[in-house]
Amino acid sequence: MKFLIVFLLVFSTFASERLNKVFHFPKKGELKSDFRIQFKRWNYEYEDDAQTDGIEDILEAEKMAYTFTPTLSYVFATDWMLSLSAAWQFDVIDTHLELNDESRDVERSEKEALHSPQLFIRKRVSSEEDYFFDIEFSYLVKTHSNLEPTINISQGQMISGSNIYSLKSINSFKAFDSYFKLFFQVDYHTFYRKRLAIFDEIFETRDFYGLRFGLAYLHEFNQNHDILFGLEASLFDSFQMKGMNQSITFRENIGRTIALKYSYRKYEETFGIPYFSFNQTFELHKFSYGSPEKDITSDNTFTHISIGLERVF
Amino acid sequence: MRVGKWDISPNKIKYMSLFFATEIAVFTLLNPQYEDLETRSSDFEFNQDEISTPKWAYELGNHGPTLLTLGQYSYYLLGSDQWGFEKAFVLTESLLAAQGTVFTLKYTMNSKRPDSSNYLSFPSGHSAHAFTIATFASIDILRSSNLDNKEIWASLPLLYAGYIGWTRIDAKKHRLEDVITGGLIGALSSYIMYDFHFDKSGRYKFDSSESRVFISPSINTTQSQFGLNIKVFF
Repeated sequence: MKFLIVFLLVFSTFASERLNKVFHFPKKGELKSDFRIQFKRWNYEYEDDAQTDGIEDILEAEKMAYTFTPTLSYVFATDWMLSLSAAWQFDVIDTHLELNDESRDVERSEKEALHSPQLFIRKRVSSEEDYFFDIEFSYLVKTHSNLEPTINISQGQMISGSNIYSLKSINSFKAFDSYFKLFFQVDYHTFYRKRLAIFDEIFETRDFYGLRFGLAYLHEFNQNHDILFGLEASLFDSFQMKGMNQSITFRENIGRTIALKYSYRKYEETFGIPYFSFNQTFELHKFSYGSPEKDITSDNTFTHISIGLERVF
Repeated sequence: MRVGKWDISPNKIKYMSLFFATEIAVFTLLNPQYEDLETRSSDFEFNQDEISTPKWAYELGNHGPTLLTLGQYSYYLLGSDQWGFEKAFVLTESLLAAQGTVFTLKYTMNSKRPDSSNYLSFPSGHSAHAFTIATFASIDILRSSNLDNKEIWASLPLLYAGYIGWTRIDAKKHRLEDVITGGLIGALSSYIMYDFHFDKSGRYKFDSSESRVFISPSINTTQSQFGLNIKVFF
């Protein structure tokens, strides 16, 4: 009986630890680091909705770069975690424009600096051995993904971008011997600045919101290998952006992301957890501008391939 | 062990339900305009020329999930079922789990409806809703009722849910795969929830007012002590 009791206790403790490890909430006083190197590809395709069939995109802009993204998290009180993250674009592989099927490379003129700092505060509201429920607040100053070269400027330039406040709820649980994660996020943009590849000016807007929600499933091959498969949907309320000469109205804003993450946990206690992840986001925006009004569809794809290392100290 | 009237489900299920309820409520309140459609209509609007049934028959399907919901909650909360309150509570959790899953899939899949009214075709929310209630009711009839021919009675809610699904296809609101997937999500949600909370006779499993014995281990690692707690409720 004694051994049975010990076994049950050890087993339940193990189950709890496992869920925590799978979705990474360290104990009080612990520091977690996450360093990742990412290959990123941005692809923007602009189509004129009034064009007849057979006409190619009016403009395609593409950029490929490597970034380094460090994230440090510290659990400063029981169930409270503070995280800081930033990104450093250290190499631009290629940037080019395709205008009416004529491809042209674009001069690179981007600063190599830390950018897009983000602050997270996460609270574990409730948890037991087979579930947890977290609330996370984050503030992001996005400065880099607006790097769209334009037709005349033909350069990617770093511009100060958006300020985004986010509130996210995360619910994870174990069911049928598998781990699931659900999340829902409200993003509020107090400020948004964007350079669009088909215009020669920068547009700005304030105070609009977006929603993100999704689910993830974690499959464990064994104690050392697991793979996470996730789906995310995002949508933004319609909004208007103003530039120096004209304004554009975004009427349709939807996105979908598929995500895969493989983690190898054998050396978790010593070296850390190396991982590989792949994210693909498809975005569709429809906007109009000018007089008479012209309708444009922007069909964007963002690919992130990462290798990284997580470690708890 | 249950410690209060509302302590019906484990925290895991309560928080999952809370998550889905928050998600649906926030979305409904904010109601973002994220789509640009030439024709925009609500989920309940339909083109009378498209349907092959009389309008009243279609409306029976269109508003069927609401009718099923009202009927089932009335039966549990106003009827004589000993576990009516617990069943209403678990049914609510089943509905939130099913609708939350459907909601997430709808926006992730972004499938255009056959009538082009929006991009929320897959899976069918009406079918998920209807099959959640119908499956819950059918299992409950099979397990806890004393009716003669209860298999026949139990099949009636499912037949009605099937009719609701068919009306969605008929009105060009959904395709067959949308309805089947929605129906499966609803049916699975209810089956899992009902089976977890209620026994083979439809009695609530975790009630402390019945005679039960609870055995739980305890351990003190600093003093190397092991114990066994036995609680008997009469």
